[in-house]
Amino acid sequence: MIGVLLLPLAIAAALAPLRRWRFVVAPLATTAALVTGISLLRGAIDPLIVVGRILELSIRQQAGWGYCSLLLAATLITSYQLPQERLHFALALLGLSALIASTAAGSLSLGAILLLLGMILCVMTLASGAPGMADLGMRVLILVVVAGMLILLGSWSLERSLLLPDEPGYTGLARTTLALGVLLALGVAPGTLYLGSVQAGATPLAIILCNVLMPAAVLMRSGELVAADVSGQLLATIATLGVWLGAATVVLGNLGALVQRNVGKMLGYVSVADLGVVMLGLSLNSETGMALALVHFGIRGVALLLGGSAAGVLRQSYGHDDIEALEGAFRLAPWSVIGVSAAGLCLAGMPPWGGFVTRLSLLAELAEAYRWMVPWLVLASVGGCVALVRFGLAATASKGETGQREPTWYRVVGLVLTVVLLVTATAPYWVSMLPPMWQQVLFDRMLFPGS
Amino acid sequence: MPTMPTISLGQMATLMVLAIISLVLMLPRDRRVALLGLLGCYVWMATQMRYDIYRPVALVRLGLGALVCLMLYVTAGHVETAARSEGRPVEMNLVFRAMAAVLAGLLAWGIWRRYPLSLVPEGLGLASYWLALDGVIMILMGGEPLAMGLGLMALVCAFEGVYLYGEQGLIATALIGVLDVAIAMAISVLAETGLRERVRTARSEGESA
Repeated sequence: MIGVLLLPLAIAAALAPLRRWRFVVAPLATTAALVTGISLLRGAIDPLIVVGRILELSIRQQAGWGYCSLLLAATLITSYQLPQERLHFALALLGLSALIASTAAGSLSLGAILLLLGMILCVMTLASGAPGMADLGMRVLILVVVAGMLILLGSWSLERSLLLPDEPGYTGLARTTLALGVLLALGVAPGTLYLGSVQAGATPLAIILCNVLMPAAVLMRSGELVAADVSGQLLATIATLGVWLGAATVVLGNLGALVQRNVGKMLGYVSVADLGVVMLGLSLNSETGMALALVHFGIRGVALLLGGSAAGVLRQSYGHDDIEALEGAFRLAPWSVIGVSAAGLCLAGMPPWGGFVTRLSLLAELAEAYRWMVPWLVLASVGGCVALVRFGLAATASKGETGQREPTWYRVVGLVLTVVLLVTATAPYWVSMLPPMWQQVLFDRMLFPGS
Repeated sequence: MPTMPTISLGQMATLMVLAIISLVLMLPRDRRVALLGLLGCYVWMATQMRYDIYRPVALVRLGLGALVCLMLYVTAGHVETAARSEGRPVEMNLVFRAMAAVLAGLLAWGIWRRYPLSLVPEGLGLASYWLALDGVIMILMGGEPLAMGLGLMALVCAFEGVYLYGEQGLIATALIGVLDVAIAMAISVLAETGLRERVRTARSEGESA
């Protein structure tokens, strides 16, 4: 555990004086994230005790953070040619370390403080220098700090309610503040509007930190809080609110995407809508719903990496990513256009991408409890698809030639990420087709050989 | 027949101190002067903390507050210099801001009388409500990152005052201190980025003109 937490910290400290040399900074940061990810996936990690406080990760949490670390490594190496502040590489590693520590913390209050610290470090990467990003970043910071304070207050109240079960006030306070804080931190409605706009000028690194690592940490922290609440009322509150706010997020996100004229914002709103689908799956309060939501969340991470880097390359080649001005972009930047389309379609839940497979199963699961809701959610998804079709038509139009040709390195990156995203669609079938013995070998031995 | 609520001498002194802090925080156009109000928040909260065993912790918190204000002061200096050189943007006038400060005070007093925080002393409870409302109003009125950031710091200071009264663990207190520095750093980074962005836009507009 000490290695997992200290390696990113040590490398982040080393990166600060080296930040002038991008060709040193990016590989070092990538290696740190890669080694952290592999260490987490290699086997069960011994708990660490610091000043009498235990830091421990369960096998599932290790798998989650292993995936997030590998995704971060992929983001760092695939996007390092794009313009971004070099200090953000160090911030990303600091954020990763703080968020892993927040999941590992045994104390509910300390976990909440570390979660807020990690989220603040992630939000700092939004300061990209693109027009309007400073104001947007500040709004997201305010949102995140308020959510973090609610989670901290709720965690403290939950601890008190466990220590003093005869005091009735603490339980109610914990339930209300935690439900509000968790949902606000996840970026479901009504926080949706800010988070959708943020992707307009954000770098792929900031997108992955704020849209994948931060929600992953919040979800894992919520799991700990729900497990600590012996009454089960917290889970019931989050589940009830989660269904309604998840559905609202799907609708608002898709409506938001429909009116966008900018590739980054369009992808931002489609991804917010997709987060609503994850929220719906988690709120179903069933093993199947939970598993599907987690797989969907994983696929979403790959799609965001592909979409974020493709939008970044379009911005670099054309100076901006307004859809109207990208007419004919397919000729100069084919892999960027394919990347945006593939990522967008995956996030919108269209076949043959991975998002379709998990979304279909999730909606089928949802139909058992809320049958009337499903047609409306499917109808709302049309909004995101229309926006993507508009982008596709503009990008493949006959006129154009106003930008620069996309860089050669991105053709390779775009191809690899598109293939990976395509493979995610079929991976669940491959795994389920394997005999049980081989499934056990794959999950128990290959993923966690020491367990 | 309804009667006017009575105010004790202690409450009156608390009200006076909070009113001064609130006015210094919200009235000045120069962010560097407003930071004195934020420093006042930290001083007031440090005097209200309950540390039965580790009294020096309150002093450490005060030192951290001063560090946070110093960090923001450097950024405020850059923002003010840039604002002077490019002509100050239109802001809400002094009377409006004074009215907002008074409104925050009256609202805080009303909420505190209706929903007193039973776990903390009167002075701390009232201060938390008042500073939190000041923070919210500053966030809503702030037109640029640093102004919103000062409001956020006031809000965080109010929350931490109440939280640290209930949670007195040393690790929690230390981590809260790190959190304060991280928030101040984030505000500085975002404000400086916004400033660079404004200067770049002004330069490109000048070149095109």
